Amino acid sequence: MLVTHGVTLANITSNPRITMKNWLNLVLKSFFFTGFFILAGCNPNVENNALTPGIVYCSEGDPTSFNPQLTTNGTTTDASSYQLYNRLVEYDPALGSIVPALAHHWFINDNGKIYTFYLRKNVKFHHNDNFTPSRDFNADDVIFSLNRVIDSTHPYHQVSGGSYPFFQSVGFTDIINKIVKVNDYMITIHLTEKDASFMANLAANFAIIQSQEYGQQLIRQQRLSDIDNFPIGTGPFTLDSYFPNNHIRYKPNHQYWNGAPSIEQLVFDITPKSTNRIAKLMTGDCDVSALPQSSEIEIIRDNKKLELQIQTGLNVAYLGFNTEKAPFNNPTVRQALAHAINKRAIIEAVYYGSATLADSILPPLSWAYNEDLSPYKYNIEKAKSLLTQAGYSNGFSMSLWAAPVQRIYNPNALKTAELIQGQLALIGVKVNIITFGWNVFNEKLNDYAYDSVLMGWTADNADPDNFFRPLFSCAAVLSGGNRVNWCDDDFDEVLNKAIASTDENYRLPYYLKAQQTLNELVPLIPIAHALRFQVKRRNIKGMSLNPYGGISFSKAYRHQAKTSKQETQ
Amino acid sequence: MWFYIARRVNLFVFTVAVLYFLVFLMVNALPGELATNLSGIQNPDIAQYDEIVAQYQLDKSWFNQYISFIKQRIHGDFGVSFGNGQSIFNDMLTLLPATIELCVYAMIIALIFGLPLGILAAIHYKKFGDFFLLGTSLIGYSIPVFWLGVIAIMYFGLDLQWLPVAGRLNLLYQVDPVTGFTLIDIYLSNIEYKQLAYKDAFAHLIMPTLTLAVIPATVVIRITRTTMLEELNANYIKASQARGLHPITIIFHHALPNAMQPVLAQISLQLSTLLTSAMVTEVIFSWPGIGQWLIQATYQQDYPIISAGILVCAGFVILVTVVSDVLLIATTPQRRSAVYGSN
Amino acid sequence: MARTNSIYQEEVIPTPLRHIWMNFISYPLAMLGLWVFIGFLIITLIAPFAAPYPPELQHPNALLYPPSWHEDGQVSYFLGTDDLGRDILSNLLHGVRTTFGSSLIVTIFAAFIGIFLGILSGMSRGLKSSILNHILDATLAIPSLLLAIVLVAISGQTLANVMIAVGIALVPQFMRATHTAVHHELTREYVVAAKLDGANQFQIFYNVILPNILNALIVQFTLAISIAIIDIATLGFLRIGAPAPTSEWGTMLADGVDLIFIAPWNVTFPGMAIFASVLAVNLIGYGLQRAVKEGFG
Repeated sequence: MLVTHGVTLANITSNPRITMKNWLNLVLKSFFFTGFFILAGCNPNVENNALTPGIVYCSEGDPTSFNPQLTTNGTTTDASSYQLYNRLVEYDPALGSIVPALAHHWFINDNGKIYTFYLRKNVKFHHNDNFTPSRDFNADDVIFSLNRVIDSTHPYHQVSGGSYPFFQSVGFTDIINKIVKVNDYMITIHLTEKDASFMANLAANFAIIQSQEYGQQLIRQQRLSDIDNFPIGTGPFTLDSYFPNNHIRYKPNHQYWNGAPSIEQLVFDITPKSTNRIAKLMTGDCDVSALPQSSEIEIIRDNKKLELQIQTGLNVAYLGFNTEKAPFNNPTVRQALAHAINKRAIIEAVYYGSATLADSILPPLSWAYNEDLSPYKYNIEKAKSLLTQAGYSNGFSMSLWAAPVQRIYNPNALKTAELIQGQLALIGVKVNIITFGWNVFNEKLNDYAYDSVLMGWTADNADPDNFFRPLFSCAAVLSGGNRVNWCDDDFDEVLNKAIASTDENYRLPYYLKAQQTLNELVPLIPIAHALRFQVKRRNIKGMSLNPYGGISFSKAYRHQAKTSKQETQ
Repeated sequence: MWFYIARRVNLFVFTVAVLYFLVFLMVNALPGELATNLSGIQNPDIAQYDEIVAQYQLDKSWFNQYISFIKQRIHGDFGVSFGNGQSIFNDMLTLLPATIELCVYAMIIALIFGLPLGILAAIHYKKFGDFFLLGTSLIGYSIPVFWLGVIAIMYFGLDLQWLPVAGRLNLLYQVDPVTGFTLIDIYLSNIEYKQLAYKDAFAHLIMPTLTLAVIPATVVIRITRTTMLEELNANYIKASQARGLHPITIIFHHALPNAMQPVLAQISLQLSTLLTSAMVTEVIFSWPGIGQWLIQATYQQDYPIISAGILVCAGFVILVTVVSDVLLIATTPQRRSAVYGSN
Repeated sequence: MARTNSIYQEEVIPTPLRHIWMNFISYPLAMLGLWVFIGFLIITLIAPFAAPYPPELQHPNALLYPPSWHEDGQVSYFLGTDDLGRDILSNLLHGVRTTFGSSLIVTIFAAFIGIFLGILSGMSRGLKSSILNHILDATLAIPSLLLAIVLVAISGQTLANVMIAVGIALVPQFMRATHTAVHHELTREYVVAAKLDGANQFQIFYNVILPNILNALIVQFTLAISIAIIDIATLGFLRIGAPAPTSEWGTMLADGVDLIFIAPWNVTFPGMAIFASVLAVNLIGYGLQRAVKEGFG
């Protein structure tokens, strides 16, 4: 109609009379197009910007609180343990031994039951909007922190849930008789019996020291839970702000006793999906990233700006059965399923080969590893016959719980679950996969409503006991850590005997026997020991890969190659 | 006109009441303890439980419960979340501006690109330009928004590394969230080197906004084309052509203002679809808005957040619909008579 | 207009429906959409026979094979495999049933319920109509995704629940479209004429209104199918949809995103499948709209 009346676009635009609106339209459109291309040309990542020397770490989830005593969840310990706090002693993986931290010297008496610690002087606590310390760190803080865990009359024992899973599983409450303050910088801890793992446990991620003065102030202000949500510690960073499901911002503690950090800011960018973490790493929004998926390793290797750090893993991924629930209370059934799992396939598909097949809960690296165990070879016929023997020739159905997050020991539990689902279908067992968000998942595990669960464990120290008591002891059933719901007094006896001496030759036979028992009764099927990866941009230095979990940024810095500005120490 | 506005406000109140009723039904249907789902406090002790019963009148008839449910929510008490026990209302205040920012920018871009293209299509009716634009808009309308987002991330973010793929701003820029809109907040803040912060925020905005804008843009193109065609066929246009007015004057001064009305009316109808697409876009680009928050809450079965989210999102949609209706009526008297005649 | 192909000069005047059909046939794009749609329908019926492998079957030796036209690809895994060794082509074909098939079923049910309710509300007057209108507004304001999330939260994550959720989200749209159409018709003179003739409500509806609103309803139906497909795929993508190992295009896409660096075909193919089905339905819808508008002459 317009055309038939002689109006075409050519007609319109060739006419010199152009109206305001038309011009405006044109100008706006061209502005946007050119603006887009200009910006597309320059990627404003902070690398080129020498003015904000900070580091962004892509973490895989929200912490449940800022106190690692309350959990064994790796995400929480990563966010809090080495950033905000210190321990009495620490484990140096390079040396392979315990080194001083807040205690600069210690000694153990002859009968192995009295430990004396000499505490470091001039260690400053953090301050925040609500609290300014009036004194340095001293013995009162150690006693406050340790008693919180073991003393049920301690005012903070029940705060934030009252559950200290790691400590409960290693029986801290029973093993510690009393803690005595000798003077402001010296304490003695009296044990009820010898425990070879005690020092290693004090060096664990979880054994942090909090401020007693802060605790007292919060009691007066009636805000006790602040101690775990607005934490005060002695560590290299202080908590500046926390935006749930988004980011955590830390500022450096300039008075840190072990050397103030060289960066002005540390931010944890909470990014649950691994693909997003790698994407952010590549575009510069993150500098270091947690838990890359094994499928991304090649890409990272090919990318010039990124650097991959690899560590052999002291961890294990397993399929655990709820041994109190039928039919999993029958060892024959568990053995049948063990023959039906094709571990090699899982390692290829989920780990892309970057893991070792697990026959025992202990990785081959451990000095207590039992190499004489008879493994459960992948054998469908044997599995079926064992099932028939147990009376389930028609199979059964079971639930398999798997969490949708990467862990150090398993980069993709959901995929593993799907593989297992397919494998068990071949022997007539129908698997239903159930999943929840990570924090909800952990909470629900304590109800023991599952038939089986895909979990794992990353060691906190080199002591083999760390793999056993937190996972299999009767105490761990109550504190939540014993996912197989297994309580065998004889087995506990073996474990307790094994820690009664520091002599490895004395302890070894007990651990061999323990692994033998686990292999026969198979309350869980160990699947793989994963390699540990950490990815970072090449210009971030000072990060080492800690084999016992717990990432630390205290020595990290950004290497500025081009600028003349130097970092201030 | 005031009568009409009063009617509209009345309608708004009634619709919101119905919305609250629907959500009230949903909350009652959720698994678990009603007191827990309403307040967000898991395992309440005796004192807390009594307080919840008093607040929500759980011991009285369902009608009382419904009324007190409305009262609590209107006073800003949406309870606390299961996940971290924080007040949901406070969380919402920080997250809602992010979503609104995305939706508003996307809508603006959809209009800026869609209107001219729709007019072009109308001018080139039944010729190549028209078919091309119609085809493009049909294709754009059929692409699932999540596929588009993922492909955009793949090419622009990872292959070419032109643009960042997640978040609103590089976290090392510490900008205080005053209004919640990043560009305004940077302006209001006192960090050094605002230029770089602006560039960074803009770069983060580009991909999510453009991804989200595709579908509304195609809708705008189609509707503009349709209404422009109708207008251009009308008698008064033929009259003005007969008078010898310049074609551009005809289009922009006469046809377009009349054609705009249905376009703007359609926009408010599109709002709830836009919100759905915005939620998916937020998940893909890790944009910290209401959508991502809600989806995370679904994975974690955080019922208080889910029910609060529905109230806020649907309430927002209703509010915008009513406001745009009132604006439309205020500016175009012709429509009022049509409204009076209907039920 | 007379159409005839017999040697006897008879006038055969096509019915309105046939008119629309003949108009429709003349649009090549719309016919393309129709053929693709029919293709998907056929696949829905024969998927278990057409797919080379069962979709859940994992091939541990064939992980992440690229499509067959790649140098590393194999013809036996025509479109490649995913990271558990499942054949993508088989999964896509089964996914036709899940995504496309269920959206058809959902739309049909939602259409029946929605049109029925819409007619009731459209034929009513006064306060009843006003109230129904307001309830409709409130339900339409809730984004469909949220509705689906709540329903899945309440009743668990199964394919059936997803379908119900999407259906419930579609019903108000049908109601709204029917209501508007019926209202529009009621103002026409021939309705008044019919009333004067002595027709009761039902007769007015069946003989007078229904034939005239049918066009709008058909167009709305095709629109709703495309919305249903995208909604089901979106729910699958967000992993709120049918649980593993159901093959669903959205879930396949979400799984593919994890592999985006090393196996991008896992993202491309499901995405293209969704795109193709939605485009086909939209083309049909567009063709119908034009055919109806071009009218009878």
